[in-house]
Amino acid sequence: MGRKIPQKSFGYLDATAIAASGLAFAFGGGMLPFHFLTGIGLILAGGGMSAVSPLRARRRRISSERWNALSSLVELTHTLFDIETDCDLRVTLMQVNKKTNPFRLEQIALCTCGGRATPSDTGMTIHQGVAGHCYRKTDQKVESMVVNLPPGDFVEQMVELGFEREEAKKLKVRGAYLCTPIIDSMKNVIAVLCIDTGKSGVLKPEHAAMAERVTPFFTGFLTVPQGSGGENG
Amino acid sequence: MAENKTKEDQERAFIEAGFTPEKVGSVTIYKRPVSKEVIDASVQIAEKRTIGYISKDFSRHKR
Repeated sequence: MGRKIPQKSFGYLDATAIAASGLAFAFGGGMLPFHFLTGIGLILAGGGMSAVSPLRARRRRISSERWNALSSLVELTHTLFDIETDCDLRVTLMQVNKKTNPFRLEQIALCTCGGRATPSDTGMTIHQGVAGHCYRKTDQKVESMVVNLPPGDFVEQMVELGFEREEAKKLKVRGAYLCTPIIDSMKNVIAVLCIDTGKSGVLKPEHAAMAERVTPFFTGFLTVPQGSGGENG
Repeated sequence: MAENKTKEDQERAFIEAGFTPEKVGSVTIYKRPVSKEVIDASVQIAEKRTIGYISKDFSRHKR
């Protein structure tokens, strides 16, 4: 019938198995911390890599949505004004850049009679133009400003308003300006809504009131927390 | 003459609306403090308390 296995052989086999198991545990025990840390490291690296990419995409998307919302509000403001097309009405949103010295007002959204336009990458310092006057508070009061330029040399008038002559020559000739400040929860001016026309005498006190009434909505988009795509002041 | 009259009318309209003229060279800047209502609305919206302003605005339109 079957082959006889001596009892002594089972003893050897048992001893060999125990020895092999001991070696396996010893090897496994020794390697586990090394592999565990490597594994954790790889998981963290992989997790970080896969988290950063969607976060960056989300940030870009939110930033793009924010820009679209601000541009739509600028467009809506342009529509609200309902001034004759030959006045060449422009509505510009200028955000305060506090990373420069002096602070600068930079265009972030623009609407002309032809619809949404690409904002210029040039701006002005807070010491220049009607927008600069609007940024600077008088006795801690935030004020709207209206200027209907008198007949005369436009470049000279812009020099009087703080521009260098060379800068003034590059500006588009305008006839009237209306600027109203956009504030945050601390009542700091974070942006300026500028309305200008090609003709002088077009902008009236009621236009200032109209522009002021839309500014809280700009505040809403400009002060959303950083994580939601905003600049937060 | 007509131009001067227009300028005077314009100046009067701004002053009657609460603006203060300020001369900067040949340019006159008309300034007026932003209304308390608009400032409060901006502050509330910045603090994400928008309901009051929006409802008030709608009720004004209804009237």
